[in-house]
Amino acid sequence: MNLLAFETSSPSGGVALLCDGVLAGESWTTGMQSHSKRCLREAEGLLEAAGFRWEDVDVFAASHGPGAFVGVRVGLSLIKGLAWPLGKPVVTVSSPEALAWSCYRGEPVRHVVPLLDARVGEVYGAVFTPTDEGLVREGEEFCLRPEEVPRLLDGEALFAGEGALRYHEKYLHPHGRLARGDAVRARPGTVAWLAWQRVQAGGTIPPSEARAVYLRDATVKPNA
Amino acid sequence: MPPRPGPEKEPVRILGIESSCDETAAAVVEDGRRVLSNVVSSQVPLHARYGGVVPEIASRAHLEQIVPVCEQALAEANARLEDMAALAVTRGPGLAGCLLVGVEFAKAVATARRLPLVAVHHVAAHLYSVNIGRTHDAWGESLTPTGSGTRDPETRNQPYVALAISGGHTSLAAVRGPLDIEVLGETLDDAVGEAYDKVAKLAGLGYPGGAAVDRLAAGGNPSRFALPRPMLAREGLEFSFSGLKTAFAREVQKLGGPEALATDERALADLCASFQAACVDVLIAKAERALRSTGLNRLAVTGGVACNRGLRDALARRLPGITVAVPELEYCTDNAAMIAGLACHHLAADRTSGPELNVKPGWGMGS
Repeated sequence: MNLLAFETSSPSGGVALLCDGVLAGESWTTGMQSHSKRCLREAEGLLEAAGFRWEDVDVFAASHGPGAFVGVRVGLSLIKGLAWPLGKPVVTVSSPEALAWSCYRGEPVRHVVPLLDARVGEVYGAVFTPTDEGLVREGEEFCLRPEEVPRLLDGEALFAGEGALRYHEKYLHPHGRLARGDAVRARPGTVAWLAWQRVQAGGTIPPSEARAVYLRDATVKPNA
Repeated sequence: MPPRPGPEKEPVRILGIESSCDETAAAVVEDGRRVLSNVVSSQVPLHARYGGVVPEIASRAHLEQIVPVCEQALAEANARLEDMAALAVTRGPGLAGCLLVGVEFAKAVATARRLPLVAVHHVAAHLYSVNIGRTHDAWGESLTPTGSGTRDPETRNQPYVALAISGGHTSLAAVRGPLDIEVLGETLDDAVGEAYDKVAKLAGLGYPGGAAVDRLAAGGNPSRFALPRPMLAREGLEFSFSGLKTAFAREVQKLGGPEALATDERALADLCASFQAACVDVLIAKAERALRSTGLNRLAVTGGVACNRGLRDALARRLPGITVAVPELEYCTDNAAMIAGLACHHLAADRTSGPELNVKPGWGMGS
């Protein structure tokens, strides 16, 4: 089973190809060029390198937010547009969850806290706890001011994501450390791997049903 | 001797996608002119309570509607994606977040199906919309499969002056061919449709209020209020509607505000009629100037404001000797049929785009 996944919910992102649950290729960059300009071309490159055609992809996946509105819609529009004409299903996964699994390397911490920059002085995120079965989310995903995040924690945390990079020094460092530099951002390969887990659990949906998760009212202007 | 019939050409069918503002639209058009389907999912109810289009609400709705709208367009055209010669999408101008959903989706569909992708200018497509229809175009030419207008889109079009008037645009252009457009004048501030919506709001008529102003104007006295005819005294083909809107606001205040106006039907109708008369005078006078300066005798009036009854009636009466074409209502408002139609000419000229295509929210027609 071949799965192609896009991660576009923050300034870093790209695309990954997973074959039978194993990462077969990944293209990933931070900033520089918009996801819109490069993601589809990079996906073409991955498939070509693997010797696949578009028809060989069984499932298309993307992170669904909460994250940058525009970025999330790039990813979801792409998988809708790829899956619909080919009659293939899609899977979407939480952006904070993908970030949490991307950054965690088994460190002995009480919490793993992915934080995406939500602008206007806020972060999107969630609190995860490492267990024998992996990372388990505690409570709901949130949109909060970064100084409000520590009240959700009762032990040392590992912070990751653009929100953590931006606010760790100012608000978060007494409560835990920043993820390693090579693991501080969400990887498309992790989105693909999480999506594959959903597929195994029967979680595919038709492309028309893929929805973004925003956590913020549509009438709030990001630069207000 | 009539030309000998050549081998039958395969019809060129294009799936068009439009998402530049608050309508998610898809359509299938054959040979650039014959509309096989034209599906529009309007978001007007979503925006009405805010008194205007909220870009983020619009972008979210496009993402939810785009697949069902495209499915419906193909179903109504009794066609499959593999029957399409290309995919077309509005690249701009428009709201960035809204355009993005259509462009990303269209790029992906075209890539997955290995179809050529054509990026279309929204206003240029409005200018072209007089050339499309289900059985006839707006000039009255037959578009049935056996008619004369179906198989030779490059040569059927005679030059014309086009006035594109909507909530987002007010442009005058000389259209010498589908891809040969000379912009003659544009608005310097508000679009005329925007002015209609704003005065409707000032008069307490809700949003969108252009149709309400038009309806009330039909029963009013257009001479009661002396509203200005902006830019008419100046040479040139530019427009300006913000001063007219301000003059309207002053009259509303003199009459006691929107609450007082709500109880004075006569004054409300007269004010709407006076505003409409000012807009119509300016639009027709500028169009006449454009016709004179270009030497053309055909005028196309396109865009959402072309639905306006007062304007349509005045066009029929006040431009003797000029052939005037106004699209059917479904092609006046934002639609994807005009996108797919114009795309046929881009495709014939080999003007296609790749997966790097991005949106161009401020795309000028001259660039």
